[in-house]
Amino acid sequence: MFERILIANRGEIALRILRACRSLGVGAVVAYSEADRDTRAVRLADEAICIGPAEAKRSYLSAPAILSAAIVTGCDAVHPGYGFLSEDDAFAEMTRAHGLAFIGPPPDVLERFASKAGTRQLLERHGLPIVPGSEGMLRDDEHALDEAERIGFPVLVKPSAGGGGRGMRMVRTPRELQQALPICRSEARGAFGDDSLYLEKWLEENRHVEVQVIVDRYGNGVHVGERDCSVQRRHQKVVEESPTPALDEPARRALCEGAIAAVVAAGYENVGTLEFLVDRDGRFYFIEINCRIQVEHPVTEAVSGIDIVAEQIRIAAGEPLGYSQADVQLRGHAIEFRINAEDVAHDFRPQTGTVTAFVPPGGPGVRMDSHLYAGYEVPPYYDSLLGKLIVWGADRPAAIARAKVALGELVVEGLITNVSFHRAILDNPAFVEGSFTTNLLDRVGSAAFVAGSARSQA
Amino acid sequence: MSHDDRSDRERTARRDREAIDRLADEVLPSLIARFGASDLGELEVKRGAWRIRLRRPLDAGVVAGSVPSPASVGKGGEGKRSGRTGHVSAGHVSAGHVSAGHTGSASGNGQAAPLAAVGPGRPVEQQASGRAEPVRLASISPGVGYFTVREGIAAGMTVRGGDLLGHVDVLGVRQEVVAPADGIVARVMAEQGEAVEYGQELVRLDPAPRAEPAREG
Repeated sequence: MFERILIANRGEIALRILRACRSLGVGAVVAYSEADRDTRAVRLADEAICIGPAEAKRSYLSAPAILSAAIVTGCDAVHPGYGFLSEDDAFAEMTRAHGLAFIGPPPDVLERFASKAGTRQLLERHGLPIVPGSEGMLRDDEHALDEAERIGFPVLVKPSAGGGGRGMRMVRTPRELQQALPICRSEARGAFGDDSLYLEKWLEENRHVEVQVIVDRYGNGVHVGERDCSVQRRHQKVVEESPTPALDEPARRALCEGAIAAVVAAGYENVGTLEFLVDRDGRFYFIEINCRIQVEHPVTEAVSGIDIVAEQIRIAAGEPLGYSQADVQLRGHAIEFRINAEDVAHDFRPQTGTVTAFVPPGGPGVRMDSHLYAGYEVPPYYDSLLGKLIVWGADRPAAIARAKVALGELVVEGLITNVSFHRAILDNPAFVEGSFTTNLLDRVGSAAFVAGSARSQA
Repeated sequence: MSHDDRSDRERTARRDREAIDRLADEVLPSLIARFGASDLGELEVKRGAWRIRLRRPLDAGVVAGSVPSPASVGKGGEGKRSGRTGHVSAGHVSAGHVSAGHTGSASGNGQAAPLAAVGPGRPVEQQASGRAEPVRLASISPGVGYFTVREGIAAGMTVRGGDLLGHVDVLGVRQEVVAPADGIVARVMAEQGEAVEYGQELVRLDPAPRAEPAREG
């Protein structure tokens, strides 16, 4: 086991990692930027060291600053948290080159899973279904039509290069496809200098379901169930839960067992998450892998009792998993709410300011992971996550009932938060019946929810 | 999740721009008025994680800043200059102003406190060093690593702004520690070979007896 870990992150996750270090009996040093001098993790840490200015590029994204901090404070491992450098294979390699352990997958594993397209091909070879698409690039209109018929409309026309939605069109009929092709080609050529296109099946009303896996260095792996992250706003997760209400028990087992078998076979190591789209008919398609701890990991901790951050550290230290799939018992239902400093009524504009009061909720099955305290100043440089409220209940209705109580108790004063937005989600029929889809908030507009939250505030 | 990362960065950049605009509109006018009516050489006000500093061009003779400040600084500053005030800059903590950073070691001349009420909102935090001495200069660490003081640098030595006082070894790369302004070395604050963090005060200077024209950092 490591002796001392440098925590190269901030906010609630720095605190979360610090707690895991403490419970493992490992020393921890918190690396922070000038803007985070007064954070809870810095105050609680055995030692803290300022690595740079607020600008992330010169602090949390600066490999030399982080590694130098680890060396001068006598650490033997670096925990990157999520975001920032957490999935950067070059950083992982550099960490190792300086004689330090990177807490996450080894550099060669990160590299193997770095490309989304490459990972999809790799895991498809190991048995995971991927979103159906054209075989290779489209040669001409005739080829495009044939492929679209084979995949089945509607399809998404996508450029091979680039991203950000340019050159991308969803088409429902052969006629629409014929009209879209020249436009997409010209957009793609203009934007990326490459007009090659391919097709992907358009999944309407899809759900986002992901599988948590833990794999040790010796090829022993378990899945820890799945999480449903379908409550999203512009591709940002808002609420996550486990198990998913979208699939029944046999389907969930098939999904999770397929996922763990594929990543073990593909040589994955450490904790990770496989993201899937699930369509209306319960078919699932692998989309990408996250080679790090995720914001929503406590949902899985709540239903499994496994400390995933501690597992991540243990495995990076070379310890064997020490238990099998049969030992992983998933119980009850958990839901996580991301508490953000954002003004829902004004297009979710991020808020900054001083927290004048913070009282987390309590009671059975209630957990709050947050770095807030009264007097804490939310800086404008980073994301707007203030914390996460996680509730557990014996079943989904029980979890929802506890969530309402907990959200009612939670006090964050001094700046605008999305707490009332969460209350509105809990009252939403689609959420209550478990039929939320990833595009719901964006399709109906968040206005309905804003109105809903105004009512529940009154 | 590169898409999310990119949109995060864009959001941060947008948030920064909005914050600077807001500060320029809400705080600068009253601050400039107060500064113009006072006989202070420099004042700094903290709003959230942002600091705004007003500085008179010549009489203070203090330039605290060995790192050039990037373009984002001064948005709404130069353009909004008014009255008889001098240089106005809206300093971003991350902008690399050495002064806009650490425990206030090099942060102005400690005269911000009398203007605590300026600007709507919370009071100005008094800096640790913002007490009796009128001017305190210091070279602060440009990075996290091992500090080496330049041979011959010792208390009583006269240095000029920009002089090399030592370096910090960051993973084998030397980052220079320079004098923020002309002055006399008062004390070297870190041991030879000591591990230092970013922003740590390394060499403390007393101001040179005669004020020199300010160099803009």
